[in-house]
Amino acid sequence: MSGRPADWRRFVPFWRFNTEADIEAELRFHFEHKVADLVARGATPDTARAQAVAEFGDVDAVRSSLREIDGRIATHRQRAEWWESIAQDIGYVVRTLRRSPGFTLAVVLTLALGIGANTAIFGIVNSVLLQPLPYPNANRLVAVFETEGKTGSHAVSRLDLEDWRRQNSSFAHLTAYIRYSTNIVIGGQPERLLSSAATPDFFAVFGTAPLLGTGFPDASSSAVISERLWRSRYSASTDLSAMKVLVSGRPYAIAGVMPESFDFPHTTDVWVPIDLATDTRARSAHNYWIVGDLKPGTSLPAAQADLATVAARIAADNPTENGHVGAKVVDLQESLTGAVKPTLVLLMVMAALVLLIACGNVANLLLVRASGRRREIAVRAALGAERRRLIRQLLTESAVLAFGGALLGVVLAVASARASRAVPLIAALPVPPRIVDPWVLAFTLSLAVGTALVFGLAPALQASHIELVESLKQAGGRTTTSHGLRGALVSAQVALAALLLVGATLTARSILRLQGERLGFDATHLTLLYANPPGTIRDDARRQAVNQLLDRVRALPGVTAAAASDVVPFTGGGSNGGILIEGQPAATGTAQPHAAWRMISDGYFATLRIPLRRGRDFGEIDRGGPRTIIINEAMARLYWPGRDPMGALVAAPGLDEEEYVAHQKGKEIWMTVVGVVGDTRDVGFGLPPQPTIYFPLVQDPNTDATIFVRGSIPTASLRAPLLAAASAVSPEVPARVQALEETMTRSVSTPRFRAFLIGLFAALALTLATIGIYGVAAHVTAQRTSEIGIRMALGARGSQVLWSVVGRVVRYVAIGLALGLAAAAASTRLIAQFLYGITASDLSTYAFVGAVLAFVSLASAYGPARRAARIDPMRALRSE
Amino acid sequence: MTPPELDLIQGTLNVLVLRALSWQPMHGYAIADFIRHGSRGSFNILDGALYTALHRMEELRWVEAEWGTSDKGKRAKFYSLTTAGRRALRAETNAWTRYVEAVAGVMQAKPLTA
Repeated sequence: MSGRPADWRRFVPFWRFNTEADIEAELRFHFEHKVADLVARGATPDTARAQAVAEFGDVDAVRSSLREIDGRIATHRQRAEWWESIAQDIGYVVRTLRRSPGFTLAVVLTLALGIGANTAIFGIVNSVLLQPLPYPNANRLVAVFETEGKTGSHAVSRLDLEDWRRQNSSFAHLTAYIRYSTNIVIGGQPERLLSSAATPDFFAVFGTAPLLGTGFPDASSSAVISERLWRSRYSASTDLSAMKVLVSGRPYAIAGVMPESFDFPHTTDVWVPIDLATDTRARSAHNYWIVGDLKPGTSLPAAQADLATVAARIAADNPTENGHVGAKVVDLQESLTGAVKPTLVLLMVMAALVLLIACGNVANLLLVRASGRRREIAVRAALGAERRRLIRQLLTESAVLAFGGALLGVVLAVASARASRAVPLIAALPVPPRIVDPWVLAFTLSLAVGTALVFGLAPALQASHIELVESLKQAGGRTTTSHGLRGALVSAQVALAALLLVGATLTARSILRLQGERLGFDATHLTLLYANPPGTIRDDARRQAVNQLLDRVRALPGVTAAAASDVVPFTGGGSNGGILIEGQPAATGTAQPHAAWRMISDGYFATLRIPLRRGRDFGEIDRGGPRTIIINEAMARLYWPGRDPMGALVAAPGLDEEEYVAHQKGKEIWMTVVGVVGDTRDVGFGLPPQPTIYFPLVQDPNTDATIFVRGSIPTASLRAPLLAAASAVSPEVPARVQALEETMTRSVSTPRFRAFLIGLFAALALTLATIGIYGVAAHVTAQRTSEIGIRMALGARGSQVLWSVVGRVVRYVAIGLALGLAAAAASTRLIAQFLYGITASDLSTYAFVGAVLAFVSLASAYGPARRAARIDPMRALRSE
Repeated sequence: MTPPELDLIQGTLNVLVLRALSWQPMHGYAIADFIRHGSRGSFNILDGALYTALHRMEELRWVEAEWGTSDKGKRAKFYSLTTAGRRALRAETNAWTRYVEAVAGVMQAKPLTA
């Protein structure tokens, strides 16, 4: 190896220095100099060389350590140089962008919308689906349900739970809970809050330590409260012994406070212990929701297999009640988020599509900008800038724009997360979404990098590929090379917009169908009065209280009718269970007759305007007399097909303990069908009427019931007199008044919010695509000015020119439209589950979207095309 | 080897090199010569150690290197002090002076009381 470094090395960047050659040169110089000096002082060359080596030490060792050090130095310098050049590029880009604020603003805003939408949705996806639940035992938490044959899962009965607990070997705990809205009284002040009743091992399952105090102690009269309630109602006092709370009229001491992070069941403010031993022994009374923590090391499938064995044993021992009952173990997070997951996936996909369209537009803008900058780029290339460096510079510009967009996008996402906090879909999430979170921000950052590459790479490659001489010669710097690319961009944008528009149109039409569907009752002018007597008032006293309240309400001016029911339509409340029909063979499992149960006072059908088809309404006659029921037409059709159900006898063993005990003894308490009423859709929009039994409230007065008031005046005017009536009957109860339609609106609000978001994305897509189409049409016109000038000079008519421009755009649009509609047809599976009364392959929707996009495209191409048709041939020819 | 050679206290080589360069930029051989003359041959410094120290200080950015021409017309690598190098020299010199004074003080001290 030659030790002499070539001089040219001094003129290349110094990291390409050959460090080894430098070291050799330095050492060689040292030895030559030293030997020369020693010889000058009289030594022979041989002794001089020997002394020089002796005084140097181990030459090879020194050489290798110098190599090591110089290698590090070179790396550092290389890195520093790289950063410096990046900083230079960024500085240059910022300066040039500042010179075209319109372009910069358009790009940053477009990207901010796209990136912001993605960030906002990912904020939800991340906290709800990707991050573990905020409990120490999160990875071992499961929900357990009972299954009935092949149909869905439901809550669990007391005896089944007790058998599970005894016989399984997979769960550390299996805890039962019920969640309900109760009257809570703190310091004499009543409030309606969500409370949960749970078995004593409830808190141990999650592993979350109380903020203060303990979980459930042994005492059954101790409650645990939420941090929110503790702060708002007890001023965050640390003296728990002084605190008391009345839950449904029962006094509890406060044993502990759970931190805000503990939110299970969702939005619970008070947890009270339940004693399973006092509950009914009917295996068909599915009263409890179950969560459990797997023993460490136990897998979910193993636990599932274990519990299935136990359930099969119970089924074999109790064939009539549990013949088809199985057990299902589900990851708790999955069971909490399963319902919202498809919506989130859909929104994520849509947001991504919007971002792609936005990228298309930005790429378009960059192409336009690049064609205006060809001369500048050519000059820099002529001055010796490498192509790689030019590409990097153009990509740096994209990156700076993308980061600007991402920054603004995060701001938009944070603002929209704030604004949507009260939206039911968001409020119902088990974990609130967070935007300012390392994962979300990392996602946004990678989006910024990704988008910069997507919209920046093609224009950068194209712009940097320049025939120097050609570009420098062209005075205006216009070329025609980007035609194909821009056409492809327009096609892609139209395709994506078509995809989104199909989705939006389908969901919007579903919402319209949902809201227009026949309910079977008159929901207008109905006001709800929530004023349950405290739980301590029971039986006759309670019956009297409800009757008293009804009498007072009915006597109010402006009230035409009033009645009570335990179920408010569209709130998802109400129980149901298996029934027996006299004279029909007893069936088990899925074959067992089944009905929804409603407890109502007399006058309910009149108040809700549900038509009475046969028989009579409940009345005084039903109190204390033989048990009676009224059924709906769906039930009559299902269980008495072609026959008259009037006078038929029905038993509901799961209704209460008395019925159950009688059933166990084989002596059913039969109830007589005294009436048949019209069907109602009271569970929720989009759900068919279900077979329903109405029981007279007078025969089961301990059920909590809501008062329905039909008024000739609006709810707002009824509020004060209704509250006064409630207060006169039970002053200690927190009463609440609400229009029924308001609660129903909430039931459609989730599909409506979903439709709103989809519509918003579609509108964004359409706007961006329109801008893209317009841009291409304008560009085509501008590039062909001279050609058009020639053609017109040769006698072409304006309309011919107009159509030639429009025709070009139409070709791109048609390709995009075909692709987009095909893609929509291929991806119907994604959206089908959100549709109601319309199929995902609805042809009229596709036709509508095609027409809209075709019209919008033509309209946006028309302006530039018209301008082309008015070109003055002489001016056009002179302009080149 | 008649005069006893002193072993160099570790780190001292750095300060000697910095001191040498505080006069003017020098190549490695000149620095070695400077130290050998300055110590009147008392230090047993291997030239290899000197070059290692020089390159390490280049990495620390105490010195900068540049190729130039020696007084004999040969290409040589010249080292010069950077601002950071000057600062390091000041700090090391102070430390060294304090050390020397302390040692000298002890060497000249007598017991205060018997």
